[in-house]
Amino acid sequence: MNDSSAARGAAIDLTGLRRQYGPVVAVDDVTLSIEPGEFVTLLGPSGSGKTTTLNLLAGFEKPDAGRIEVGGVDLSRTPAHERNLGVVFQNYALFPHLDVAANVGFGLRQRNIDRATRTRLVTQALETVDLAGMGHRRPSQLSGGQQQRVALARAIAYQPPVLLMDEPLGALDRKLRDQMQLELRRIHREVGSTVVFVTHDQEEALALSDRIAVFNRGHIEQVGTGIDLYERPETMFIATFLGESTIVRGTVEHDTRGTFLAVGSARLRVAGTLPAGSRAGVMVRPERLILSKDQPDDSREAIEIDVLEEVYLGSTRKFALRLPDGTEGLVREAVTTASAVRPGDRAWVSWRTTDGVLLPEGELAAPDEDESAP
Amino acid sequence: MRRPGRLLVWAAALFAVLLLIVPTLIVIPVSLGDQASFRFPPSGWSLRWYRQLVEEPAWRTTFGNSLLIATLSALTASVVGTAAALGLRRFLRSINREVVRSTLLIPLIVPEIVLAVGLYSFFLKIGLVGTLTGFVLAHATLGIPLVVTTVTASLAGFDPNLERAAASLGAGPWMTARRVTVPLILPGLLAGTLFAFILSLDNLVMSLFIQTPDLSTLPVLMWSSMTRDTDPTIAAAATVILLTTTVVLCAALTILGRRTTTERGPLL
Repeated sequence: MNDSSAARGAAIDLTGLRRQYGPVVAVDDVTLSIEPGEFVTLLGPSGSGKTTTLNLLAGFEKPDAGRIEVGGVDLSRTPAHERNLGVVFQNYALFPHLDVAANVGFGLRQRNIDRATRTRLVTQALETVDLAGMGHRRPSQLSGGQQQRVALARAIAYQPPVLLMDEPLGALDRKLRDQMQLELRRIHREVGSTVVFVTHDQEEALALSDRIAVFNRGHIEQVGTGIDLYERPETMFIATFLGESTIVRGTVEHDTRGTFLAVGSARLRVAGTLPAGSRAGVMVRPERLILSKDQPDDSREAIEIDVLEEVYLGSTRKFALRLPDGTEGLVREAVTTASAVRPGDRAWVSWRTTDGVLLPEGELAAPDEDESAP
Repeated sequence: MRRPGRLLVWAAALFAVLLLIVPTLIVIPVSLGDQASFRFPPSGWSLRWYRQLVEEPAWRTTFGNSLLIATLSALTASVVGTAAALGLRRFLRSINREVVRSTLLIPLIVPEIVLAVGLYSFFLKIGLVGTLTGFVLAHATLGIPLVVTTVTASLAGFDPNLERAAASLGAGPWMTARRVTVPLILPGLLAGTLFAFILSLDNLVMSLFIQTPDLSTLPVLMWSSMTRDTDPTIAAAATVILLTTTVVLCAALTILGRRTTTERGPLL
């Protein structure tokens, strides 16, 4: 926050975190290092452990094992109220009996900051979230979006080195959410705190984060930038959870020229390698696939497929395919490139060797129920 | 009032009011009579029975005792009952929570005479019969379930995330209770405390067991003088209790219906 910007982000180190509820392991050996000032999103389906990890970090729950360090200080056994972190809740959790200014000033009052400074910091925080002049409203008199801004102002008012946000935009409608995403990016730049953000919305994760940690069944499946995760997924789960994908399955074979995937009679060249004989798949993003009536030349990997359906989507056209192993795949092509294939055709789908990612057979992500990837 | 059915409802309501309230109100004119009798209507009017209530040492001390016991037992019940209601939320399994809650409500359900006999034999053993502590504890036993009930009702709309939010902002458990939890459950807390106060103020059965000639309460004295003679001071005392409970009850209902005020924060 401009002049008094003592608030610099702190590094966060989670090591071997574990949290169990009876027989259910909610968080299983989670290890994650976050740079000072970084914006990291914990992304995953519901019940994957991302919110529990955030609660452990906030101190709302105690880990059964593992270490939590913030700015090099071990906070594993520190109670929540001594951690000096800012938390934004999905349902806002504003104090209904306090006006907006008293809500925002709550953390400052706990820190025994004198009234003059408090007044200045509350006003500043309200300005940061664009709510100047709303200080004496009751939370109940504000719209959902405004309440979320108050919750944000309350968490940044005392300039904590770390901000934790649990699906803070989840209760807002689409349009407001897009607008708040831009605001969050701006506020993150201004405040400079390290942000740990929990969401199940992959688009939101891609739009906001420096890095994304994808959770599945209590553990972190992969950590990386949006590009890392989309272009270079390490598991079938990541490949199918984030964005659309077409997966051609087969058996890994090796010879002097490199590694291949045997799919029926076809032998597809692959980048990367896995043990010979193991079941694996080549994942290609739909926009990197090309459909053609005739078999393409040797420079591309190609398999013969059945075209099931064609969907016109404005800027792109989407084809649903039946792959040799019976599963379905997708091809996305720009409407400007008109391939001659039609639903019901027998055709070829092809890709550049380097566009395919060889992945061991593994768990797939369940299809996302709510609106997500475009 | 357009349909005859409506008329019938109003008639029934009026009958209920007459049956329930009017006999209670008869003590007021009786207490204002000038003769040492319970005649209604009184032959003349005077305030002598009220003077008697204030000046006669027996009446005055027991009235003082009753107010003191009611206040202390209501406070005890409010502290214990609120702590219990807050603690009940910690049960992860609702079956355990309901078992404990039901146990807390037993004093409301068990016939008071049974409870009184039990408490009497227990208090006899530990030497609490005839003591202020004995009265306060016995009456608080009855008040606790009321506070648990009203505070639990207040907590129904309470978002537990508010306590987490307070903790994240640096407030420890006591500060969170003082600045967040208690202000938000205050209507239920006050209403329960006032109900507990009334319950103690007009309690007879429990008090009969615990009283001694040295320490007694107003309802006990009213009861014993009623069986002895017809002294309209009883009517005066009854009127005082009636008015006190009515005022306290109205206050409780007002508090329950009122929204909490908003605390204002610092701003430029």
